Amino acid sequence: MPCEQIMEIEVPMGELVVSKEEGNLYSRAVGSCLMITLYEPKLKIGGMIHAMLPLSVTHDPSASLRQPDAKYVDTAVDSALEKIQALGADRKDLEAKLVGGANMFGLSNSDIGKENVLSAKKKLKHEGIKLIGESIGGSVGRSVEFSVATGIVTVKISF
Amino acid sequence: MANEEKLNKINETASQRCTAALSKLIGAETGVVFSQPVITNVRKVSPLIGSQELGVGVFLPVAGGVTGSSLFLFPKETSFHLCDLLMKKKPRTIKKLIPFDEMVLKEVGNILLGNYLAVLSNSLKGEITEGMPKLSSGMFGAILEEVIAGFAKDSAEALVVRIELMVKAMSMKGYLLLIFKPEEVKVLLNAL
Repeated sequence: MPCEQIMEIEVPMGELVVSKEEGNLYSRAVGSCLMITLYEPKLKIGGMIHAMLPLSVTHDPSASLRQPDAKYVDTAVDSALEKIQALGADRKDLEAKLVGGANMFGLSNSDIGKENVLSAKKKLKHEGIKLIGESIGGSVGRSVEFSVATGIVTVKISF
Repeated sequence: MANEEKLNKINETASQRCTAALSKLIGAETGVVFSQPVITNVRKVSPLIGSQELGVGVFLPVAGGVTGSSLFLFPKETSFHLCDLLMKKKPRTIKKLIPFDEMVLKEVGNILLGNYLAVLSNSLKGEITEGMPKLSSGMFGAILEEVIAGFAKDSAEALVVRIELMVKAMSMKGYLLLIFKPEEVKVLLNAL
């Protein structure tokens, strides 16, 4: 019996990918960046964000106007919600997971990873989206894979 | 003079300075070669150097004439070899880094990055100062993310240089990265 090929889609830094029913969305070597997965389990619609910075407003007031990508947590969540809803999902049925947000150099005066996580939690709460899982913080790199068919997020930690 | 030619000249001078400094630190004849300089957008660095390789990064913030970050990145095996050499241990003795080893590697990073920045500083005829070294280990891509993130909003550019250390018939390879805002890269290249 022929084996069905699963589509593997990389989500590079500052980008987001949304898919319905199929595909494994992945990113290798995640450090201070934050991977946010959003999933609608009944319709099997999923999105994965690879955000680099916590807030578009703090870092660049005009970012949301001229940066259509997923560089910032807040505007990336807005873009992902728009795309996911366009595929038929209702935001009240969405479940979110967070992966990453490490502080690789143990910098005490600047912890972008932690700020990314705090920003995502605040944004998800504001949008009324349930946060159901996380693998965050520390000073470790992570590889993450998100199956859109099942909603399962697999995280590998490397030291 | 073309940018590549200018950068090759910087590499040549930095190689000489680093060779002298590292030979003194290790107590043996050492060769340091900087080569293949590439200037690229910060988000393209990770695919360029291979994000999944396990390694160690020594990071130094840069201030003064230009503001940016510098990073010496090398494979995990190289970190063990360097520690063996510097601690006068037999090859392949160290298999895991302890805090003292990390301190030693920070010093190596400080010497390499500091000398490279000193050459740039001389060319700029302005002072470039570097901060305290910080060390991280893990996948190249994960180490890079934190350094890159601070510059993500500006679409900053990185100078990526290959580095080869040759000590006692052993060759160790890694990368030296300098990240600056785009306008500062122009200032830098014009000054060279």
